[in-house]
Amino acid sequence: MSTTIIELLFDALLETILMVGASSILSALIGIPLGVILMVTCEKQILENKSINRILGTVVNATRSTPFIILLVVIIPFTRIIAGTSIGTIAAIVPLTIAAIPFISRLVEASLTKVDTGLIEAAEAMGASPLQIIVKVLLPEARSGIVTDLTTTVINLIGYSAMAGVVGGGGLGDVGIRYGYQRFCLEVMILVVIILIVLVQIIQSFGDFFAKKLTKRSTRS
Amino acid sequence: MIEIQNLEKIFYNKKAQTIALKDISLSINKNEIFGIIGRSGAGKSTLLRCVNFLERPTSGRIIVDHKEISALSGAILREARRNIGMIFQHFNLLSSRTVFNNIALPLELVGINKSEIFNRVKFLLELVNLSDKCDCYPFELSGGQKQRVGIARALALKPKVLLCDEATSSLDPETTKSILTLLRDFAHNLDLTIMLITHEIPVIKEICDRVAVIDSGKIVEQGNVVDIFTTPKSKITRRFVNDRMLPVILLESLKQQPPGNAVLRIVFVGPSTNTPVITEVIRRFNVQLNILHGNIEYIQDIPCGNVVIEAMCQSHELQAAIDYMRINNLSVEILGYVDNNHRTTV
Ligand SMILES: Nc1ncnc2c1ncn2[C@@H]1O[C@H](COP(=O)(O)OP(=O)(O)OP(=O)(O)O)[C@@H](O)[C@H]1O
Ligand SMILES: [Mg+2]
Repeated sequence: MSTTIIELLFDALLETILMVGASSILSALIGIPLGVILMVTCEKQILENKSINRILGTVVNATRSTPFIILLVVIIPFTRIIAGTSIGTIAAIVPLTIAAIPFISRLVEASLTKVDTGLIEAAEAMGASPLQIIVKVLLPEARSGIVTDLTTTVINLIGYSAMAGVVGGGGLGDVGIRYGYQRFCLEVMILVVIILIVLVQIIQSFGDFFAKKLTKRSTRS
Repeated sequence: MIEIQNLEKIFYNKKAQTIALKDISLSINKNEIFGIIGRSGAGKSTLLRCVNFLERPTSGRIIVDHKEISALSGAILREARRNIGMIFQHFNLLSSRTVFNNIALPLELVGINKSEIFNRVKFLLELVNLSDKCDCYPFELSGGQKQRVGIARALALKPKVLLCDEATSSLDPETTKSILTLLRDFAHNLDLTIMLITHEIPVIKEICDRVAVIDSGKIVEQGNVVDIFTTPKSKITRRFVNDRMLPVILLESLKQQPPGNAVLRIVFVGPSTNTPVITEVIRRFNVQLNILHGNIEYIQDIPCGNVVIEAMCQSHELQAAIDYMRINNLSVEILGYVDNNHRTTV
């Protein structure tokens, strides 16, 4: 194997890590609070608010149901405003983040909903305010689930990032398609796939490890 | 301490509406342990949850420690809730927090500083005898230990009132006993008023001063525990109290009308357990008595006897004997009649 291919793959790996890493962090920063809002504004929840819930829910669903490849193109004007350019690795972070926010928020909402309602009730009986319930009860009790949600989101973003080549984002997926598919370099494509598998595997293991560490329950081993 | 006036709670669902509580009025005194008993679905939990406004009543007033809870909302309601501790059937401890931090939670919520929290939690842990489990997580505890943590947490803010919703229903009898003892001690030593809900008769007998029987959202009877258990007035109460005391075979052979021998239930309470009234009856009247069933139990250290006898005699003799027993402070009730020849099979 030539050093150029190794260099090529290494650069692509860095691009993927940059795109996925940045969009994961950004989407978590926005998506987790959004998930909290979705959960607490639901019917019978601590800050029940039908209109907020319905509006946010609709936006989230609309974004989630738009195929990523279309989203990527549609939001190019928005990307240009945010990133200053619509092409390149940095620019690709914008659509990746936009796509991941609704994904992560729905997962977090589901994880929060799984928290025993008895705990919320106990906190209310202690005189906890809604904000205190969120910070002291809901988030800590759902933390292991939220770690799993983040893991799923990161892995999902790796998949999305393969399409970032469309806007010149680069990354492993892009290399795989350009060399493997368009230039029949089967070798490169296989390597790309192997690297991706290893990457996903590592992330999943880390995620599982932390999720388990945060679970304070008797676990069957 | 707790005053409930004309409380009503209706649940509105999509189509149907459930009337969970109807015209409930109760008055619970300071330092009293007040029990609420009733069948499943009677509305016990709903009633208790109305007291700290976890459930908003449809109408009626609730006054706890001279504060009308039903007039409060928002931050002022939350403030008032801190004066009302609550413990639950399923403990409701935070799985992500240690025992120490579970008990510290209510203190954190009001913004008490760390060293004060530390001292208070240490004190509470000692109170419930769990100092050694301080750094355990709830999953490492037994049911009884979890409920102790629940009690310590409920007492963290020094409430005047403690609400208990089936607090012992998922514990075994021995653990139940130790938890009840703990509660009773606290009521006496910590100036606490306890409102307790259960469907278990022994719990009421063990620690309650007064009890209300609730059925289909209404209070059917309330009063002193000893009175309610020895001389129940309503049908529901009687079923609660009696069903467990009479052998089924006896109940099945009872007829509503004579002929046959009358079957009487005689209840003695307190001092009358020590006077030989029955012997006297046999001596004075021409009656033969045959004991079918009987027991003496202690409700809060007051002996309560309960005897079911078959009386073989003429009907006028029977009436005289009953009158005599009543004059001597026994409560007598004719349960029914059995055939003469049936006697041997019972
Ligand atoms: N959130 C709710 N929405 C609608 N109906 C309710 C709700 N909570 C309780 N109910 C109804 O109110 C009635 C009383 O319920 P409650 O939970 O107070 O009974 P309970 O006496 O505590 O029973 P149990 O001993 O089984 O706990 C029941 O008919 C129940 O179906
Ligand atoms: Mg109940």
